[in-house]
Amino acid sequence: MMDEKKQDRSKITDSRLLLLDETDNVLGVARPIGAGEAFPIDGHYVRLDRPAGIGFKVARQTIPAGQKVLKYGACIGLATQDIDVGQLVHVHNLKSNYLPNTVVAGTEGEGS
Amino acid sequence: MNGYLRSDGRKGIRNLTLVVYLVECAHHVAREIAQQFSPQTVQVVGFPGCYPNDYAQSMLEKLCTHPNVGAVLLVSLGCEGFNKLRLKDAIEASGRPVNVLTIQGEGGTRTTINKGVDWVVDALSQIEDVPMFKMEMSEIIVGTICGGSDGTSGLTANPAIGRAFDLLVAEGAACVFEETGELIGCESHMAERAVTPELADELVKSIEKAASYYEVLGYPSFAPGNADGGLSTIEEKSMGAYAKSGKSEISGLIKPGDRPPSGGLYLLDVVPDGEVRFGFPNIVDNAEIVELIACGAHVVLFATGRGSVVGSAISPVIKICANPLTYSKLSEDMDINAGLILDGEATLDDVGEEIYEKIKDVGQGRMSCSEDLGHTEFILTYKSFDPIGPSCLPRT
Repeated sequence: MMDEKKQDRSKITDSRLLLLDETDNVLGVARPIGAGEAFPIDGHYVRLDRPAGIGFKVARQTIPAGQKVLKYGACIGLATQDIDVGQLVHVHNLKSNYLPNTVVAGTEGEGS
Repeated sequence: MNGYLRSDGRKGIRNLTLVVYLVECAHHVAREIAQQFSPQTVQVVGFPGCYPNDYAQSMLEKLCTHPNVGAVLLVSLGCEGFNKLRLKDAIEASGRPVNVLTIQGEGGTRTTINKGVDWVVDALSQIEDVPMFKMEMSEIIVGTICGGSDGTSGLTANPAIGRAFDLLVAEGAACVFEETGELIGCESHMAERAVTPELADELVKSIEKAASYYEVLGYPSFAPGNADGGLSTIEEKSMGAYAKSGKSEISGLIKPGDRPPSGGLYLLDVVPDGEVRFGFPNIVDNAEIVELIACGAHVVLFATGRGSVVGSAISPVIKICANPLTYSKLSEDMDINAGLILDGEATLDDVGEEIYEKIKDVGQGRMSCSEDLGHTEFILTYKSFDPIGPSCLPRT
């Protein structure tokens, strides 16, 4: 009984985060999470170094530089630096395998 | 639903009169004529260029004989390259009232506007009595597009449209999704859903064409606002957009102006064929909406996260808002609040069904938000396409 509870608690992920596919290494943000706020991903408490707005993504696992970033069960680009669990995944650490974006400064996670 | 029966057997959910400018120089006169009437009755469409273009000619022929259109007034300056007589013949052959006014021949701006208004008044009474008959869901063509996308589009509105598409396809409707430039990265997923191996090859080729086209132009179909809203790469935007197609098998690949030959799910390839000639494939969302309508779409489902407010001439646009924050700011422009999904207040299936019911409502004459607000945006530019081959369509 104790073990079962432990098991459950170890899997807890903040309800503001959405897992779109079992194979994904990022989670979608359904409701905003502030910078510095502690929240659980698979039972591990993490803090964001910058705010994550609705529609943004945070790492579900550690993603080493050069590794595929997976969302919807599909590759959405490659990590350009090591990304820790719970950190924002966006244009500052993820690049396209196809065509680079027209990126405008100051678009790293505030949302609107 | 009841539809306006046209001579080719198709049925329309609207009975509009179009005033069509055949070159930018005739735009003002066309607009002045239409402004004497409500935007829900008389609408302006047209082509700005002075040089002829097969694509534009074919597009206007398809649009002027769209089942939602009852009558057409063509407005020409007189010296432009557009083949107005060919267009007039095509409309006449469809049984619709049609007339051409040539500004240089009529004697100038005011005279042409006055004659145009008189003609439209007469045309409106002529098309009042177009017979209406019961219209099944299997007779409807529905297009979909996303614009002003953000990270919520692929979480809520797009997959909810996918659910609605699944319901529609099951009832025999034809559903069309598009913008191959925004499906870059989805090619292998799409190929797996093709009804034939030949179609799978065509789907992959269409995406390769889009990727190389955009590479030449130097930008993917990815606006700065997409990144502001949480999207990081073109393939992430693509996977979110791809969710609009639902789970049905893909029956065919069509190009602008091709009508789906039967019910089912179709990809509309909007990227021109051949060398890069006329710039960006679609300079703005309305260029794609017009192409969906030229394929016969009676309604267009528009998913937006950032908050696009556009509608369209000819066919109603139903706006599905992905982002709850955007919905709270722009609710008067939005038909459906898919953002409820993020707050846990609705499921994708709930919103999918709501979209399906909204299509029926709009089909029965209820105005969509953009229609009620008088949005009748329209844009048509230069392009060129090769015709589709037999491998693009289901085997008969």
